[in-house]
Amino acid sequence: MKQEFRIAESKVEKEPILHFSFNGKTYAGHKGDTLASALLANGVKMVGRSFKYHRPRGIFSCGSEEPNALVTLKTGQDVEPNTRATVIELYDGLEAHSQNHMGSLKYDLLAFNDILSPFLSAGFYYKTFMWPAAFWEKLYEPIIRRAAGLGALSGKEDPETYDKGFLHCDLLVIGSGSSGLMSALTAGRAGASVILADEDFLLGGRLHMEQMEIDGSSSSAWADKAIAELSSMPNVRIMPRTTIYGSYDHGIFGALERKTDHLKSSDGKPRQVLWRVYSKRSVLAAGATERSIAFGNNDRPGIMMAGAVRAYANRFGVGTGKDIAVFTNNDDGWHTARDLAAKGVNVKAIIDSRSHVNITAPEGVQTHLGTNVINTKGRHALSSITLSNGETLDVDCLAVSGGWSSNVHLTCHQRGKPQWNEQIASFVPGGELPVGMSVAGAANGSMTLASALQTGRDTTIEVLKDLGIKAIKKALPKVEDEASETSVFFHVESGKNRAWIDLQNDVTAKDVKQSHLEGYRSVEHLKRYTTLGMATDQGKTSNMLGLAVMADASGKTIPQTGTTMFRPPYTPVPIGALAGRSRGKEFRPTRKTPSHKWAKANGAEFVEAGNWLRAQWYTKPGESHWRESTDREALATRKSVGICDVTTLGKIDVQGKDAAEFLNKVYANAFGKLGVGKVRYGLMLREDGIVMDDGTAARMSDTHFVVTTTTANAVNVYRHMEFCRQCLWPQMDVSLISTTEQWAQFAVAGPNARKLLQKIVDKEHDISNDAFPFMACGEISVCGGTPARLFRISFSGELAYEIAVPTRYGNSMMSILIKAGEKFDAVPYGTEALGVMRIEKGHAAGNELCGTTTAQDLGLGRMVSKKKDSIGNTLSEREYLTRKDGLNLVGFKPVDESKSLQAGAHFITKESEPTMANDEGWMTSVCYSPNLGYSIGLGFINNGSNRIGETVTAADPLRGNTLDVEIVSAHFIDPEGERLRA
Amino acid sequence: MPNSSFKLEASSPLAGFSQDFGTVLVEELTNKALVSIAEPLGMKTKLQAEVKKHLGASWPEIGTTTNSPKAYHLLGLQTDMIFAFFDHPGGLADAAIKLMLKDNAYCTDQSDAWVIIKVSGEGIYAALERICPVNLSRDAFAVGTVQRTSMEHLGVIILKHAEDSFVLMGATSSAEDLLHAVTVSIKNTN
Amino acid sequence: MIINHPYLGPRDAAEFVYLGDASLLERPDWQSEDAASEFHDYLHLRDNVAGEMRELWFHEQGDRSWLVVTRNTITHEVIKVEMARDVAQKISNGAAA
Repeated sequence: MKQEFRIAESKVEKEPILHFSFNGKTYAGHKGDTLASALLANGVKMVGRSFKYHRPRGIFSCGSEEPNALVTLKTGQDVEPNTRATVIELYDGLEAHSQNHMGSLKYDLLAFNDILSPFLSAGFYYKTFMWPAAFWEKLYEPIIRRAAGLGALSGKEDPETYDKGFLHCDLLVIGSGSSGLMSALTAGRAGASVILADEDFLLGGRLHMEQMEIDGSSSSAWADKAIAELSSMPNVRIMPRTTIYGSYDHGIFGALERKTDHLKSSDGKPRQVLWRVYSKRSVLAAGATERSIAFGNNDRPGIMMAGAVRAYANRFGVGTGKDIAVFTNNDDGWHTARDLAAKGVNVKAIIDSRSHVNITAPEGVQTHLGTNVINTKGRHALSSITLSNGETLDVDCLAVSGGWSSNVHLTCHQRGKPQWNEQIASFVPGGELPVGMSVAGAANGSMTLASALQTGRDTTIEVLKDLGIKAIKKALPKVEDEASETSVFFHVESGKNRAWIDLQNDVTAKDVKQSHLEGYRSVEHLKRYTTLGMATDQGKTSNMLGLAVMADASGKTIPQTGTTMFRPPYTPVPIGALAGRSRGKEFRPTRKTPSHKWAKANGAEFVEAGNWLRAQWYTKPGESHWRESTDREALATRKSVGICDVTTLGKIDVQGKDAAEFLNKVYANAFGKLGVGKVRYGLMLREDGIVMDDGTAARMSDTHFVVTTTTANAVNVYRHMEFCRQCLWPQMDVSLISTTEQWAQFAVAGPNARKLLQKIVDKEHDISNDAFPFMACGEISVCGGTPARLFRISFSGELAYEIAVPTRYGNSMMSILIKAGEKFDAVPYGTEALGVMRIEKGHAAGNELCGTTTAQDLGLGRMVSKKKDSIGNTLSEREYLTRKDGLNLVGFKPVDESKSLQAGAHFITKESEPTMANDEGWMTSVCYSPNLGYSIGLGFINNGSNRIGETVTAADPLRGNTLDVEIVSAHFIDPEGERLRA
Repeated sequence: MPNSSFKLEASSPLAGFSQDFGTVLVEELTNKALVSIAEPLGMKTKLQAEVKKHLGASWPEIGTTTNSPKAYHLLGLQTDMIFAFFDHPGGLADAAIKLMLKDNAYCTDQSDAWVIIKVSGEGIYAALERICPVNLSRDAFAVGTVQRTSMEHLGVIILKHAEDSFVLMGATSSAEDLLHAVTVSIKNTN
Repeated sequence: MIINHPYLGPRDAAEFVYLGDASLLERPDWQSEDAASEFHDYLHLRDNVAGEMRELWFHEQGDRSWLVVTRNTITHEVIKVEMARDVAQKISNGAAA
């Protein structure tokens, strides 16, 4: 396991040796390596197959811009596809596999796609997959999609956990290269609260990848010193392995911190944390990314970015080849030759597209000016290159530099529009930057070390001044000048040999030209038609080439052609990180009722009602079907007494001198004259006259009401009432607060309800029918002095009460009510029996208050007062809403009583076609009535109140359940309401 | 005559949970009273004087708290409403306050609506930054600060009552979820 | 987004619930002759502003105040934040005067 290509001292730690495997073979590497640097150290050149043509591909870059080296990490449930080998931090035991090939990587059975390439050119998908339609599912989708693929997910649940968080700072510094470090030092020394984030695990950016001097020591040593100083500052938070992936409104940034990806095991801790960073100001010091040059067969393993080749030598101590050539259009490529030569790597030649340069080559390196590389050879790795002057050179690595592009991405996530800078041949930040953002260093076009340091400092001093923080202007570190001339040259005409632009999506220069010929003139169209820049790397090394070829084809300049829009995320963010903890049951909060424990211990099945868990029914021994339990509960309640936890209904305390008048305005019906100790049903409309919610309001004192809402609308109604209070009638003296959770409330219903309550209500409170009639309310005490509230209201149609005690007594109260009711065979009942009884009684609920129905539809039209101003009253009188033959809520029963009704069925007159034109209304709620012995329903039908006794058809063609039903009164049980008042 | 054949038992939402996680101590506070005190329209001055006189603490500005020698902590939650936070006197907690403030205020008992969790220890900042969007740094959130916000989709009142010590109040019904959010945050960061 | 609450300072928009145009503060008089059409306009007619707009936001996960937020709908710049109750009070005083 000799690391044949390890060449020199570097930032990797020699000891201990780390072992890892790639495609099943074990290799050695070091702490500080990336998977890519370790593979290169071991001479592994080919690491994957391209997306479309399955061409052999090797490591191309040394950072997150990597287009080629996508690998799958781990196996089984832990598998993680499409990770970039260039950013994976090596650990002992790391396991990686190449992807996108059938059979072995070397002899990929799908490589025939490459031979078919003339048929797979730009717009291939759009042109081919159009017809015949039948081919789509059987051929295109399974075969072609599989051939053109990335790595595969495990299909199993991700065993890792993820977290989210919130950070706040005066200044967020994005990037820890020369300008980022200068910025953080300047702000940190001034006492500002600073966050310094960098996607790399080693902070310092290119300072570790270059052989430059700062203040007399190496740039790498200077970076280490700066980090040490920053680490000692309590006001500075240093975040390595953290990508600022998006810039959002008002100084908010999205950050992804990789917490345990560099460890063999997460050890139960979240693997990654997705941070929301609130910054007062930000300095973008994201540096620049080197781009390639398109020429014939420029995609073979061994052809790499020149800056990456240099970085592998300087930072990782890895030579990327034995015989290396450099192909460049700018001075920076020459620095690669210089650094490699200094490390003893054989540099055969520098090929520069420019005819004149002001820089010298290292000794013994041949130079070819005004010359281009036009073709390359080597099946699985580069073996030779052919130059435009006819010469052929045998090399195993070609370092290519097309110059550097400022990393403007985050400046564009709001409204920024990059501008072309001809001198450095790069787009630089332009237009309106995100709020609070300044840009420094190479990200802003300051491409030399000296200028990066200076802009890092000076930009930050300005920012601090803005924040009112006094900064100390320290002298800049001393650095030497460097050659940095460049040119605009990205494409070598290469005849029949394909010149690759986007390596990951397999887009060639020819594809770009062809799309222009086919009429795709806008750069955004070009992108979508060719898929240029749409792969996981988002074209970081290739977009510039595509623009240049397109500009050339259209006869426009690069700035005229413009760039495509940059959108978040800067690099891929796992869906798991975006979800954070919100998985499974943790997707949303669970609310439990006060009697939850008791219900659980007594056979309750629970149902989700919004966030609430409510007892749906209580299974007794011997019961095997929910209907058995529900029927028993409903029958027992009507026969004697039943108890139901109704805490989930919203409760709002309304207090104030104007409380009654306020309710008068909020409810459609009148409340002004409601006496103290009385409850009234209240109907709330939306301003457009449609019913919003219903409930009750109990007058506890002159200035105090307790209002209830439906469970589903509790939050909305409170918000609406606050709107009314603050925005519509601010001159009213009224105060609101929710008390839903303060009181545990139970419905006690059935002919023996009073007798049961008399067993627990303290004797000084007379709850006889005379003293406490239907719709009475009052403050009482129970069980020897515990304060309680009693309301004589009924949803079931029985003699019924709702009794409330402070929530802390709720669980105990449920068990006491059952115990006190033993003599009466009291039963607990769940939401199913509750539903059965309210349908039997003809009470509207959520199914009827569905956001389209009016008071008139519900048969409550007369409740809407015309004598006062209240929300919705005016518009409830609109012509259509008050039409004579409108919908009415009525009851339904099947003509054949053995049949079951179905909610959602639509009513048509008998014998007519089930069409929209014949639609007369719909069934809203149905249940089996154990008291009547057949299925019953509620529903809306045109002019229903005048059609009692008529038979219509309830059409349900979708579920094949169409049957004849009779229109009946909605009050199936006790239509006169005698039981309520008993 | 009181009806004492049945005895109601009180239980707190988290059954008095208490656990030391090393860098953070998590404790449910039980037998506490919370009473909202709202200002009748246009009676701010009068109410503030009454509060000062009877509760012994001045009316807290929104986002701040005041304390009285009588052990009332007043939390400024809205411009026109505060919460009084004190040891539970038994019965209805608002009765005692109403008796003092009479019709100068609108009071509502909130004691049972909220689960109250005290979290303290130096690890609390790292834990809470995983769930709390409000800046809790020592400069931004000094002792005596109170805010209402949301954590893991739960409405929470957060109060810093001493150095490195916070009180969190959330809805009783989802008390277990709030505790879970807090303890997971601690485990994820310690 | 960040909404700079007049009393609580900068707060994340996630704590707020959005309602719509602040013209909802100016509810018509139910007794006016054209009440039906005035209510219709009040409820349904809105300018679709590309630029500065006055909006109603509710600080549901905060102090439960309704706010009038003046915001540029293109840039999201928040220009002014007022307590809706204060604004409504002024409107109602104006109507009375």
